[in-house]
Amino acid sequence: MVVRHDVNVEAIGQMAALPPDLSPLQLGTRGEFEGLAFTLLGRVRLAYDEGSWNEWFALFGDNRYGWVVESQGFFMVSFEYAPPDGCVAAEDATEGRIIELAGQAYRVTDRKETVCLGGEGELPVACPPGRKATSVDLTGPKTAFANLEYSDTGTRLFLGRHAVFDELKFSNLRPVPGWSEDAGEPTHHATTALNCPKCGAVVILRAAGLTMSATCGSCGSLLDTATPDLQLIREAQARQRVQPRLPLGRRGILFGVNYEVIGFQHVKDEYSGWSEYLLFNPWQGFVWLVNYGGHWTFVRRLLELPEVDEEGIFSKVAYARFQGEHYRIFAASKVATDYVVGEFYWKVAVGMPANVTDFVAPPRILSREAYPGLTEQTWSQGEYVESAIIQQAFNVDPPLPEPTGVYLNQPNPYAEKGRQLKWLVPLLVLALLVVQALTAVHAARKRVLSDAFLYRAGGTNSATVSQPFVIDGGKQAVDFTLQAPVDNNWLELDVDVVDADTQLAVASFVQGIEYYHGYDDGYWSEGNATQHRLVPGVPPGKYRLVIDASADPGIGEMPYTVTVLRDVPVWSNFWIGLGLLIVYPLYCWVRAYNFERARWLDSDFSPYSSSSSDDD
Amino acid sequence: MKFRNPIYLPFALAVTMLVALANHNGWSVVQTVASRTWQHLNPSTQHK
Repeated sequence: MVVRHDVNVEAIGQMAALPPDLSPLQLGTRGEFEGLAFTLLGRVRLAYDEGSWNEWFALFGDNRYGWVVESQGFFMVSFEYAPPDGCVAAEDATEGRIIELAGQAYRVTDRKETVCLGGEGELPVACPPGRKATSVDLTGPKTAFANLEYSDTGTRLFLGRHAVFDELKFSNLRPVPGWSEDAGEPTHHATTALNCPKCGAVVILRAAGLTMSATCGSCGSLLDTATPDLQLIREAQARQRVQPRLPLGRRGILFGVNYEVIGFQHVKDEYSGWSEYLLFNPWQGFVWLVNYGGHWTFVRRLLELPEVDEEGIFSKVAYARFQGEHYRIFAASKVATDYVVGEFYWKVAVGMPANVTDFVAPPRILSREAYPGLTEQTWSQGEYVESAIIQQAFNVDPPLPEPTGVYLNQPNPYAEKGRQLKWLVPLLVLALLVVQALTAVHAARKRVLSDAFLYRAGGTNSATVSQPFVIDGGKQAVDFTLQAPVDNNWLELDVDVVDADTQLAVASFVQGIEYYHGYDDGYWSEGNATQHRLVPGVPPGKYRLVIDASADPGIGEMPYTVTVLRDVPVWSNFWIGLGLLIVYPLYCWVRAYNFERARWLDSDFSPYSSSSSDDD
Repeated sequence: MKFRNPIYLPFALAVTMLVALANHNGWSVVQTVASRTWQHLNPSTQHK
């Protein structure tokens, strides 16, 4: 190993061999960060109680030295700066504290005691195995990152930002055994086999060097995989209660990345339980699949902290905001892992309660997880995945069951349709209105007959024939206005529209005219002395009306008039069309509403419930 | 943009065009349907 004091390089002898891991980086790996090329010169491996990570010392294109920190598939690129005068002491750097560094406010997210496991290549400081320090992680705006390291040699400050693997454009990567095609058999999984200290059975590690705990497949004991001899963390659980649907070791391509299932845990809160699968890819790191009631959510840990309305966390309107999107609080509960199998990048603590707050903006979910006694607070973002996609990726047998019920971040299919209909329906209604308006504007409404008649009771032939009238143009709707001075009595007209040439009736209708009124706890009236009747689709021609009148027995004589208007607009077509246009959107909106109600049934923060969780 | 209501748009356009056609010919869908239904239910009723 070589220690680099700026440009002076000092050899200090060999260091202990680093434990094996599946990092795709190696000395000489090149990359790019914000347009600057860099080359990895050295590495230190650090560990703390709950995990371990690599810190790569790099030379950048502007001749600066910096660090590429590699942890659980995430990367942080930082450069060393002089700590400010009066820099906060390690014991005062408590979680949540805001510290100003280089003119920028940073929030303390994590403080841990670290120990150096070893180093290789060129390094700016000696990192003998066992070297201890206190490491304080801070996050700034967006993905800004800071680290304060307190050790015997003083305080060091590193400023930079988070990055993801693809962004850093790595080249000259180390072939990863079992994963890279040029690193051996492509179908052979990269595994390390050690023996369980409890029962002696072989324990297979699928992400050796990156994980901190694993369970023995034989006796179920929980083992510390950070130690070379697999120390026992906890003896076997009483019995296996949950069978993972995705078998450990199964690989599947999700969103273009080949992941291997390496861990499984069952988590429960006060009301229910769900399954969490830890997936691993040497380049992309760790992700989760969460399964509940046949529903699946793909979860990544977040680099950037969302903003939360902390004041309103227990109100019904608490939100988290992330990348411009609002997430509504869904649940805040204590959860605990009650069963684990496989391998994990932290020391799994079965039964240890964690405070989890979920915020939803379907199909996405934000989860905040904090453990009492630990300062670290982790945020993750999940996205709903159809079970068919999981089935296709991992090809499990028996096939995954169909989802039941409505899950908290399940996309609402009717809401998505409804959102589109929100702008589509007004446009279509407008088009229908335009059609109707054009019809109404162009309607002739021409009076072609206005004739007066007299009804006589007891006549031998009550039928009366009107003057002839002409309907010209095409087929059209004709309005008949019938008027009689009825007053607490009635007149009924049986009207035939008869072609004057052929004497055939083209239309017939019976229309009553009645008007009643009086006093009965006040004035009342019903009916009307004027009635309209629309006859649609009358072909052009010369017509007469043949009217057969009948009336209330008390009427001896009664005059009445008939007025005929040709080419009148038909409004019933418009109303039927409008009804047909809005039936489907109404159906979607009702289904969307019911879907949302079902989603929020399990929430203490339901916007659909009038009683709040405070009442419980 | 994925169109999530593939049947609705052509249906709605067809409804609008039918309304335009009915208006143009002076048809009343309500009265036509009512008249046909009445004749179907009362086959003995004839025009004079």
